[in-house]
Parts: sequence; C-alpha cells; structure tokens
Amino acid sequence: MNNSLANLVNQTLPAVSNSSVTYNADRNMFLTTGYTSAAGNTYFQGIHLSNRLAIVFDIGIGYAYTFLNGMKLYCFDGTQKKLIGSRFYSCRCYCDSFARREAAEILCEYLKSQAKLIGTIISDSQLEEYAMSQVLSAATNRPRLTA
Amino acid sequence: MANISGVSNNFLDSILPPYGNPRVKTPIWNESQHMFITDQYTSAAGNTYYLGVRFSDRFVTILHIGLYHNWTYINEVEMYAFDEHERTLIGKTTIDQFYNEGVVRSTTENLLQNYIEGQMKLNGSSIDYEQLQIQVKGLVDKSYFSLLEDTNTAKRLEAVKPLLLPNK
Repeated sequence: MNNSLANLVNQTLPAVSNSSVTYNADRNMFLTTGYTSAAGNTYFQGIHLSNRLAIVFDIGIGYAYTFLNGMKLYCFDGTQKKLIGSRFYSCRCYCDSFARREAAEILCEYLKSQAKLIGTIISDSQLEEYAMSQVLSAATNRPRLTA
Repeated sequence: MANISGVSNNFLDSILPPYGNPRVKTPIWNESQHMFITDQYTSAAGNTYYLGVRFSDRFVTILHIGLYHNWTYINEVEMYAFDEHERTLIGKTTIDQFYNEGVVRSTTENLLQNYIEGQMKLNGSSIDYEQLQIQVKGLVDKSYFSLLEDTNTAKRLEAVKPLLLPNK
C-alpha cells in the first residue's frame, strides 16, 4: 500500500470495523479476523473502502464453498460510520460481480431516497450510473483512494 | 470524484461526504428492509446498534437491532399507536435472536393482535379470531411500503418525524 492509502485506511477502518484487519491485494479487500464455528465453518467480513463509502460483506466458508451471507453499506458522517443500507442472503455463493451489483443497488436506493427526502429531482439512470461508479471506485480503483 | 451532470456537487457531498466531512441530517431509509435507520451507535466493543422504524397511518414499529461481528440480531420489537399527534406504546417484546424478517413480521402481527384483542375484551366486544388475524396481517402489510414508489409517504412522514430526529 502506498502512504496515502495507508493513511486513509488507518483513519477509516477503525470507524468501520473494530477488528484487526489484513489486506488482500488480489481482491483489493480488507479482511477481518475470522471465527471458526464448532462445525468447522469460518466467518469473517470483507471490506471495500473508498473515501466516501465502506462496503462490508459478511462471508462464510463452509465445506468447499464461500458464501455471501449479508452486505452492509456505510457512508461517513465526520469520522463516524453511518449504516445506509443492508441486505441478507441465504445459500448465496460469493461472486464479485454479484456482490458489486448488489452494492450498487443498495447505494442507488439510498441516493434515490435521499433525493426524494431532500426534494431534489435526479433521473434514476444518473443515480444508477453514479452508484456503480462509487462501488467500482471502492472495489477496484485504488488511485481514487488517494484523491 | 465522479459527479452527476447537472447536479450540484453540494448535494452529493452532503449525502455521501468524503471521510471527515459531516453528512446532511436527513433520515436514512433502507429500501431493502422498508424501514428508516436511526439512533445509530457503536459501542467501545465495536458492536453497532440502531433502531429500525416502520410505520403506517395507524401504528409505528420500532426494531432494536444489533450488529456483532458477522451477525445481525433483533433484540426487541416495540409498537406504538397514534394518539392524535403523539405515540402511545401498545406492545413490546424481547426476542434476542438472529435477525429474521419472518420472525419480525410475525412478532409485529402478534403484538398488534394482542393489543386489538385486549381492547375488544375491555370493551366487551365479541371476537372473530379468523377475521381479526386477516385484518392484522393487512394492517402490518401496509407498514412494509416502499418509500421510492409510494407517493403518499411524505404525508405519513410528518407523523413520525419526531422519531427520526435530524441529529440521529
């Protein structure tokens, strides 16, 4: 990690997760300390991070499969995290493209509801495009973290 | 940063601010769960607690939810009826188990049915339980509306605004 990214992570991860984390460079994802149940299944959280968004995946590894059990999206309010949306899944194998699509949908629902509550009119297609760009920025676009 | 053509960056910065900047004080709506998220709090142990608020024009349901590591728990369910512009507690129960929407819905239905049943008994009315169950399910269904699709939401929102205080 470069210095800017390291600084951002140090600043924001305590706001997102109280667990110690490791960084998985292949997936550009921070992983919390896992927990292995008596049945031998391992559970942990995977976190995509940008300077505006934290996407937290609840992941379980059981037998030969990696499952996505849930997803939570947080924005920031000062230095505090704010939950802005969540979904639960049952027997859903983890897949990057599915996870990103779902995260973009959750973010888009948040943006639409905020626009409605504030009284701003923005087209659905614009919000969908913006939501996907923010999710991709957190998931893949590392230089954006340094912007 | 990415922006939206024709839309002020102030709007985007207010609802999705960069880390360290304050977020605008509008209530947060979770469309996937059909409820507002309010009163968020993270303990020193790192567990996050918040209230989920659902409502219809007849009652308000408040869910006490906790996030611990990978798990989401439903701790308590409270129900309030309206008394003019105030809310009155009509039922409360502790669950303390993994969050399950089916359990939350059936708990809400039970609380509402118990309240109506109690009121009918106090009034000396005869009770058709089958009919009561159908009516209760219908009433609870109405609290699972979509903020994004329901054009009457803004009117209903006035009644619960005190629950969704700007500083929460």
